[in-house]
Amino acid sequence: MNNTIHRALDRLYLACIWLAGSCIFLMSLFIPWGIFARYVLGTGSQWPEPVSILLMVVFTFFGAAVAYRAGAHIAVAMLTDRLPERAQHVLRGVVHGLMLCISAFMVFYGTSLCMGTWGQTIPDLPWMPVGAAYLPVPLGGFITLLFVLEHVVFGSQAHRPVVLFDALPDHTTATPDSKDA
Amino acid sequence: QNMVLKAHDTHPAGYPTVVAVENMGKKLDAATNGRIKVQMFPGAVLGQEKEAVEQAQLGAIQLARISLGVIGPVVPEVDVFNMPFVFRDIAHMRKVIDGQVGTDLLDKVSASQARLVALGWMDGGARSLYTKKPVRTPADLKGVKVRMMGNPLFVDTMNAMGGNGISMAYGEVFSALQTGVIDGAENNPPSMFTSNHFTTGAKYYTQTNHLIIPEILVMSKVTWDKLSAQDKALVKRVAREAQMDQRALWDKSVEEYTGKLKAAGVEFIQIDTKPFFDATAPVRTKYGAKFGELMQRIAAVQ
Amino acid sequence: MMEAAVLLGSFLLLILIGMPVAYALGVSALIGAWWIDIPLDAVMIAISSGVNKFSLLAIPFFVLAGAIMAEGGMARRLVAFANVLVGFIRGGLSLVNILASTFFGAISGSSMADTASVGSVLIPEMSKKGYPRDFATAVTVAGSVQAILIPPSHNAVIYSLAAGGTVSIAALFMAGVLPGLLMGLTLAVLCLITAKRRGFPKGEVIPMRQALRICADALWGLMTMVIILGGILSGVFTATESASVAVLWAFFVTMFIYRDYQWREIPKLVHRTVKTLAIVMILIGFAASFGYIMTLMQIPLKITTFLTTLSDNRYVILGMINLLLLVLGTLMDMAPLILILTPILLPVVKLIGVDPVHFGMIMMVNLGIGLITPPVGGVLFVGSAVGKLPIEQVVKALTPFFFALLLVLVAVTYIPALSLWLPGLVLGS
Ligand code: NA
Ligand code: NA
Repeated sequence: MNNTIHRALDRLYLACIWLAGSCIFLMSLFIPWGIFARYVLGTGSQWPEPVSILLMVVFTFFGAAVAYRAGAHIAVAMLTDRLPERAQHVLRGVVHGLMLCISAFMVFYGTSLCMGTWGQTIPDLPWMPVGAAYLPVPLGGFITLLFVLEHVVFGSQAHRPVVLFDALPDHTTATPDSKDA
Repeated sequence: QNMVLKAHDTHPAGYPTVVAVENMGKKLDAATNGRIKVQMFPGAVLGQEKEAVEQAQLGAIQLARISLGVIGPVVPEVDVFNMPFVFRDIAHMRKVIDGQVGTDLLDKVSASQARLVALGWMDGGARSLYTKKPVRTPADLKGVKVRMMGNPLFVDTMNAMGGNGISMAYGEVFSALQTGVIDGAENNPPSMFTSNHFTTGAKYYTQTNHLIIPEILVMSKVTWDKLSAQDKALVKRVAREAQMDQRALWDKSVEEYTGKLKAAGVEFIQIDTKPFFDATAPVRTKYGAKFGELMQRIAAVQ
Repeated sequence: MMEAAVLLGSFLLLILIGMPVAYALGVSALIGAWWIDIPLDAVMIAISSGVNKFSLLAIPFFVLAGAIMAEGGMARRLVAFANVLVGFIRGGLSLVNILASTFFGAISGSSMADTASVGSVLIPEMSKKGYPRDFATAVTVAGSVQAILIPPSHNAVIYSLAAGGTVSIAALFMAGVLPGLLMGLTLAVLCLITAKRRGFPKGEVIPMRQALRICADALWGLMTMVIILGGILSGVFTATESASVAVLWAFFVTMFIYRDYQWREIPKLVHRTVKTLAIVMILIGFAASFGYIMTLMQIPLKITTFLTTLSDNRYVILGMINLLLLVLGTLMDMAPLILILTPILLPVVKLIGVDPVHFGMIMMVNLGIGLITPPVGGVLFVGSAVGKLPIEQVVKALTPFFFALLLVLVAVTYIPALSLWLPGLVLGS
């Protein structure tokens, strides 16, 4: 059972990485296309800019969920490291609770924002509802919520093979200032 | 009950629209013995116009001075003002927004799904061309890259006028002009001055007046519904006064900044706009078909 | 007053109990919004629109280009190139280290990546040649601060954004060149003096043919900076566009010119970049919501008024701000500090007549120093990991370098021309 959960979340994790990675990949092609259109085709292309910005938003919220599971977010461990283990344990619990709260808020208020703005469209991209552009907030929040729950129940997953897949052969990717939350 | 109306404007402090809404706040304050006040947040500190509209819809802010560009997706009729040369001149535009057409459009916005109450119009002046080499005719614009607002209609307008319309975020325009990514842009004299664009070598201001797009002052529907009938009437009245107040401030500001630009070496070029009007006829046909009746009503205003 | 205490107090508390900084900003923004009765959906608008900005696109591009270059064998070639130029002097390898970081700074804006890649080549090499390992690590760590100043610098982009887009990225890039070079020079002088005092070895002169080959190899990568700066300054493209071209170029050079990076490594590189970047981007988003609530509470205005009642002497105020930035820099990371402090401090310094571009450089140097100071210093930590030394030992060896960097800070703060002369020259006005 536990294994099934981890495996499912591993797949979700990979899906987020691929989604975020594809966003960067496409952005890196769209913006140069805009330059090409300006010089070679003589007239500016209007869509690369707003579309790339949307991809960046998608990247941010799905990437942030990935970074959470990998324990990569920047945190300050100065005070907590000096406390006795018991107190550290309590504070970790508080932080987990707050992480659950903010993810839940992103899901709830993000959804309400999407619904409230679904009837409007983005001036630059007339086919795109504003609400759709806000979708990454509740979706990214929901995935973060799942990863936080997993962390609370099973402990940090930052050492799973799928998370460590990108580790360099040596220590150079270490980001020791980022504390597991 | 006591309320503080948070007002949003992307224009900086001291700009006519900002001052007019601040004055409106003073009148509200005086008329209600301090029960209703306005707190102004100028200079886009709370976000760009798209976010301002969304915040007003939620009731996070109460007043916002916004361009029609962000209302158009909800109330398509207001887009009629985006048509190039839809007004003969500024006086014509003012007659239209002061009259029945203006009132009808405000009511349309208030009655729409936008969750906003349109209180009044604000004058955005006329947008004209500024470029690095002088422009007098459509032929002079050949190969000239001009930044336009991000809407296919405006890009097409510039292409029809003879140049190359380039859409670009406003924040990028200064360095793009400076480095030569673009050869010109278009705006009114106060904006050209306050955005520092005149220091980039774009020192020929050709008075094409190709776009005359009024702006709009809206209130959050959430807030509006909390007002008593008496307060609603008061707000409507001071907003109408703000519309006239802003107009006087605007004219003074255009005069002042035109002087400043001239002193800084900008050459103002008066032209016959007829060739540009004719050149943009296909744009009006393409985008204006759905506004046929409205455009006739506007043209009929003398 | 109470409002400010709720917002800032809850943020500080959350940070201290170990909440990730980005989410701490978000939670305190929500608390603040609830306190002043702002609908919480509006906080979501602020978070999302915080990362919904064109100029921000430069950040993913510069980070990705830097990662491709650094991992794709560029770092090794830059070290070899620096070795040709200064390796033969006494203390040569320490100079090579500084100069390699100068070059690295020209392709990347990340001090952490600089320390990791230059350090993993040079620290073992230096200790093999008889340099104390702690000195080698300290040189690497201190030298890497240059990457933030020398263009491209995504921290400069973040500053431009935090300044409300009123400061041109092109101007900030040009402004960083001289302070960056001054920093390299100051550190090099310190290395020369130390080498003489402690009798560090000289390297060998590289034979001409070999030297030329090394230079040609390195130039492919250094072309990145030429493309970026040349492209921006000549008006071929904007700063943001230049960043996207840098990605294509970095990819082209790595995969088709150098060809020692394997295609199957690319997914890993993307995976790493997603994580590094997402941390920065979500931080920007949540910081935007925090800034939104701060603005609604008019906190920046109140702090400006307060600071200007303390003194109206610009040197005094700048001194106070430097002190504040240094202290906060020891405790927190660079990007969140830029995002939180710029809207507060920029109005103050503008009032006393400091150019925003100049102030950006002051901020970069201050917070750059913060990256290598305990107790919280990302680059310091990476340095001690790469150097395989305890942090305390690296900090001890770093002491003279801190003084050198403070000297640079004083120069950058009180000689505006250092930052403003070059942008004025190339961009005009
Ligand atoms: Na750099
Ligand atoms: Na530090």
